[in-house]
Amino acid sequence: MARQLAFMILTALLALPASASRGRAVAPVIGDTLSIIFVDGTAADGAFMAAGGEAWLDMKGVSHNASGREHGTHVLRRFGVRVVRTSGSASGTGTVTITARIESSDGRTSIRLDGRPLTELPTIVDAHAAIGAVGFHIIEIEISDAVAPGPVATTVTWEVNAQ
Amino acid sequence: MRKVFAVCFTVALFAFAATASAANSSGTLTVTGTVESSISLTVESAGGTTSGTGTAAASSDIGNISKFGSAPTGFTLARGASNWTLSSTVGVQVVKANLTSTDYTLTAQLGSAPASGIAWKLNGSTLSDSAATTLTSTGTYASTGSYSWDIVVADSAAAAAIDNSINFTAASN
Repeated sequence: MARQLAFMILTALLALPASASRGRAVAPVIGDTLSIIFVDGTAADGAFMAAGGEAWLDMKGVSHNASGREHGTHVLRRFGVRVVRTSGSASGTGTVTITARIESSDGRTSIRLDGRPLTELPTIVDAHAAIGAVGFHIIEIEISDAVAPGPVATTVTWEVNAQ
Repeated sequence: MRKVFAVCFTVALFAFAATASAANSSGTLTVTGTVESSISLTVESAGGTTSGTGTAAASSDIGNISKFGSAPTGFTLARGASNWTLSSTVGVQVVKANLTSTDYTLTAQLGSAPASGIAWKLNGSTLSDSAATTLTSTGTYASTGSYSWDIVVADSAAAAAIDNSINFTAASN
């Protein structure tokens, strides 16, 4: 009976490392790795630059639309996100959950993704994103009229979790 | 013994599931830009049959006018000894964005030389096409300023079109 109990404990201990790694945000698992790839969704104008999982949207000079009566300045940009399986399963199919959150911000802009405001807490962008397919999204940057002129910067972190 | 094996099998299944579903990844999207100051001017109202109010390019049609006729819509008509005056107001609004300025200067200038015997006045000042006339140097943002608008027609003026344009310019102080 004691040997059987020892075997059970050993089995549970062997399972622990895998369970612990599940809780970490970015911890590739040997044999099954996903990668996120950004894709520009608008005619190339040099404002959106993407290199794999890193993308940069440079709004350049932004001023209030003189013909608009709305408060604040809004910049909208359509772009795509694709999740690919870079190793592990031979099949590239399946679905993943994509979330986004504000990683850092100077507090001078408000960011919306597909109409939903982004915060420092993860927001589900796509609960069932197909691996290999490009999903398009619209990011909206709002700048209040009260914001002083000068540079603005915000970083949005995207996370992909297999289901 | 059978119960013990069942427990062990369950634990092993959990371990396998954890390994298979833990794939994840991350990426970053950085947004940068430079906010620039701006102001916007709109004509909110004017005498006559207007169109384009609320924009920066409004127009006003006062139709056929004469000393002894009736005043156009939105105007009053005053007859003098040797001239007559059509009077109304023009509403101009200036809004600002991303600007620390507290007020602005508003000027007006005719787009072309007025017809002989015709005088265009705003706030009592006669406008010309050669120099801008200051209407206010302490304009309040986001508030529509109302400026008196007079068209003075001499009795000696020829019967002809008096078409013209008034170009407003706002500059932040």
